[in-house]
Amino acid sequence: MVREKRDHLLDGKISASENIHILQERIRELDRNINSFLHVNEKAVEDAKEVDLKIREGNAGKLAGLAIAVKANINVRGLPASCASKTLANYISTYDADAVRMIRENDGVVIGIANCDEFACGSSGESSAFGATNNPAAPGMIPGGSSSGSAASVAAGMCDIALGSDTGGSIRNPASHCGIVGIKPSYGRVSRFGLIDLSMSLDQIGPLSRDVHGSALLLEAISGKTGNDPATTENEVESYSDFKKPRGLRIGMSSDFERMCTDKRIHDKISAFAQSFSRKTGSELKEIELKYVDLSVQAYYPIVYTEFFSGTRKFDGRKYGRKIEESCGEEVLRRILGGMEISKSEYHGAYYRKALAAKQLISKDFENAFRNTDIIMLPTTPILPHKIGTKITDPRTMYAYDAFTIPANLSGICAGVINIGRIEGIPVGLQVMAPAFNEKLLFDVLRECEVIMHGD
Amino acid sequence: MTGTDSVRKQAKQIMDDFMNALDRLGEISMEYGLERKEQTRPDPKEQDFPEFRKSILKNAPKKNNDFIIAEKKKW
Repeated sequence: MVREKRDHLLDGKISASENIHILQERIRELDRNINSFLHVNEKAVEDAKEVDLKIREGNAGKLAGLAIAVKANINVRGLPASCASKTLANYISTYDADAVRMIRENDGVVIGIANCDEFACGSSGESSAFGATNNPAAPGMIPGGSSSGSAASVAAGMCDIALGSDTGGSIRNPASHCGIVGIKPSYGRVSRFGLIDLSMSLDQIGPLSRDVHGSALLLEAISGKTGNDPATTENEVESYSDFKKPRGLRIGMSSDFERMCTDKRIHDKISAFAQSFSRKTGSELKEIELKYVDLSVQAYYPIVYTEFFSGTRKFDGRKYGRKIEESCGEEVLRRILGGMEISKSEYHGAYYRKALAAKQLISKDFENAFRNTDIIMLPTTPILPHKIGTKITDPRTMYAYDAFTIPANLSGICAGVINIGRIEGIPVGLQVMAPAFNEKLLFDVLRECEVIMHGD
Repeated sequence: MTGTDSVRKQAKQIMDDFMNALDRLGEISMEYGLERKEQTRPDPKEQDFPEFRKSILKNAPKKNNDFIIAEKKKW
């Protein structure tokens, strides 16, 4: 796990360059059956050797030689940022995203670029132009998306931690399906500079890892106000990895989520775990009302369609890449054409404004809920992941996967996922939501969940 | 109907269905505004990358020395 690996790196039991060598070997051995990496960084060993010098001098940063996979929609200078699309298949990044710069400043090593749904438009990991990603934790099933490669590479032990992006669940969904930890930070916690946006008012970059410590460490490194993203805030970046045992919490659970959970076994598993957690921590389970949460999907997609249409106008094939409408897959085209339709002047912005108004109501729902609760526990997805290649003709079927993850993006709060077992051999993730900028509480709760599942 | 037309039509249908669902909310008055301590953004950290110009031009589909070439009205 990340805690032990980091201790070994700092103690000199393993060097950073050895760590990279071992993981690169693992990638060569395993990834042909998983397809989680689009590009392996040839300079990673060289970068690791520089970190080794700093470790020997005793002044290495908090990520000290850990190997990090970066989603293909995040810029890493000198490496491809294809967004898993033919549109940008040959595009090489000319700069580091803020999150990547901060990883380097903390002596993390970028091991490669992770596969994803094309332009982050998906929740299955099947729509990459470079092939679907397999689920190492449930082979033959989708790994989830859109941060499919990030989740799969972590689950298969081909990297130590990964960066993904989450607009409506794209970190949490694959974290759940692959049986790992994934965090969507509060909107404004992490700079979006260098993230090729899906929906600028909803996107956040976040970590995925095999243990809670890994995500906590990475989020400490990449959080904070930067001049490049005006949405980032002054809120203090706490020591998320300095865990405190939570006691006496008020845990919100909503019968709205129970009603929306198509596979009742998932709800039953979440409910049983929440009861176990409340007993072990002296906490109280409380019913909360979220009046408008069942309209989250309907509020979300008009915003995404409009903002994605706007954000993709630069892909016209002039300065870089190809014209997006001539080179993208069906879901990307659907969002562009849908966004173009509802942005027409004849509608006077009605679709977008109505969706923003619904977003505001859903946000107030959570604001009210958090007056009487500390955290909310709920499932991550309403159904289990399907087999790779299953024919799904109506996109709304895929959109429904996001019903439990979208609300956190609409309300700007933080949310994380941790594995709490399996159904039919498929991992099931518990989702925990906390108030905006209360990532400290979120991590304390997730760590306690980890202790309940696996011991200290 | 071409493939693009059918995708466009389906996308518009999805949006219309979602808007009909949101009709349940009736008229909502929006609250605007964002409180900030500072109104201007701080100077960003600059990245030292001498090869930046070369790197940008390398990504261009068509170029002539320092010029990116694009056909007028093509996009």
